[in-house]
Amino acid sequence: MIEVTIDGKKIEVEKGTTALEAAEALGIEIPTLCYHPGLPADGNCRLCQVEVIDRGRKSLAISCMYPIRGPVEIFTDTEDVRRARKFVIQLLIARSPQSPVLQKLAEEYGVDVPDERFVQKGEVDLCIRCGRCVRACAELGNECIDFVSRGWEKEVNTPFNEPSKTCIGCGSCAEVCPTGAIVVTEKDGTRTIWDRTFRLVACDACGTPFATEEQLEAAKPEFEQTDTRVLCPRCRKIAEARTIVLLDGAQGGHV
Amino acid sequence: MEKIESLLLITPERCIGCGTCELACSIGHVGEFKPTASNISVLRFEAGVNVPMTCLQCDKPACVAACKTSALHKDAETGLVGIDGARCIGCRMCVMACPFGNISYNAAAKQTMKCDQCGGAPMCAEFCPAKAIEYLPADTANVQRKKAFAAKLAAGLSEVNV
Repeated sequence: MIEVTIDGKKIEVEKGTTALEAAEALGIEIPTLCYHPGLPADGNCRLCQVEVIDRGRKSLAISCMYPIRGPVEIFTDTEDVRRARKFVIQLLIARSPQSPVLQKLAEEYGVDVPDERFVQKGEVDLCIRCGRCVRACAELGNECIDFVSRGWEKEVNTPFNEPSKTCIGCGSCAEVCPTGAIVVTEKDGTRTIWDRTFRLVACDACGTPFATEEQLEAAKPEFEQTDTRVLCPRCRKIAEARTIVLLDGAQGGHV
Repeated sequence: MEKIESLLLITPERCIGCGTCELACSIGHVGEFKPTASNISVLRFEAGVNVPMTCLQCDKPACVAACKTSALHKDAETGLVGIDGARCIGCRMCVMACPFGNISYNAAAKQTMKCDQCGGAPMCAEFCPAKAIEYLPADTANVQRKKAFAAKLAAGLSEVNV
């Protein structure tokens, strides 16, 4: 165990704990966009910067990627830290001025509306290239999306910008997106995401479309069909409850 | 075997279908009376036949096996299947996997929802007026009752045809 000091508070952590995790354990809030506790850290958004004093040397570090290896002192809200975060927000909001998440951060850190010469024109682009979606998809073993191109052209997309063959339409990428840049639409028993339209499987009992075929396939072997019918969660519950009633020989017989 | 101190016992024969458990559960978890946001639901069949259904805290949970980010885990101490909401990435594999439909995903809150037995004081049991839901010490008699209930569900999984 290593004792570290964060904003004057002391905490003992395991070697390798990140500065962000240690701060969270102390209840100290550090703003993040690309960090997700369920995914490997990637240090893309640069918002979680903190000041680390290690053996007398001061430096800025990306807290989600900074493993604590010695008794360091960490400051999460110094002038240097705020200036660094402010700069990050300035760059992000120049690309996505319409993003409510970024607008809120800009207000909090006193970032002015960027000069319109530096603001991206054309289509609204809410993506901040943080890669949460990419990591979520990889974590699920599907790996349908990744960063493509470099520099200003860099974006998240499917291979060759075509509908992905390996996508299961689960929508995790959209769920983890911090800015709501990924859109999933459901209409008339279909779900569309990343330009691919999936037909939703209808529940054999109630007829409600509830999941894509690929999702049910991916959930095997955990997913079991109830007496060879494909049931939605609600109807699975009803089927089970009905069994109990039947086995109890409840009043009235068949239900 | 895990150490379980108390058991959530459901006795469907006693259930009067009032839905108090659903209200107690939702007010405890989401702060409003909203049966659709409840982690327990009363399934009402014909008159007088009601079955409250909630997470069974399986020994080998399908939801945990399906979870890729370890947001769901089987607690060795309490025997409960717990959620670390922050780790959830919303893939809904657990919802697909649960054979009983006892786990759900709240798209608005971006959270998976399941019974956590209110951390040791289940509201549903506390407010059930008919003692259809009880939270009792895990002594031999109660474990037997729980096993009998589980046996019915197991039988249902293999032979149900309704």
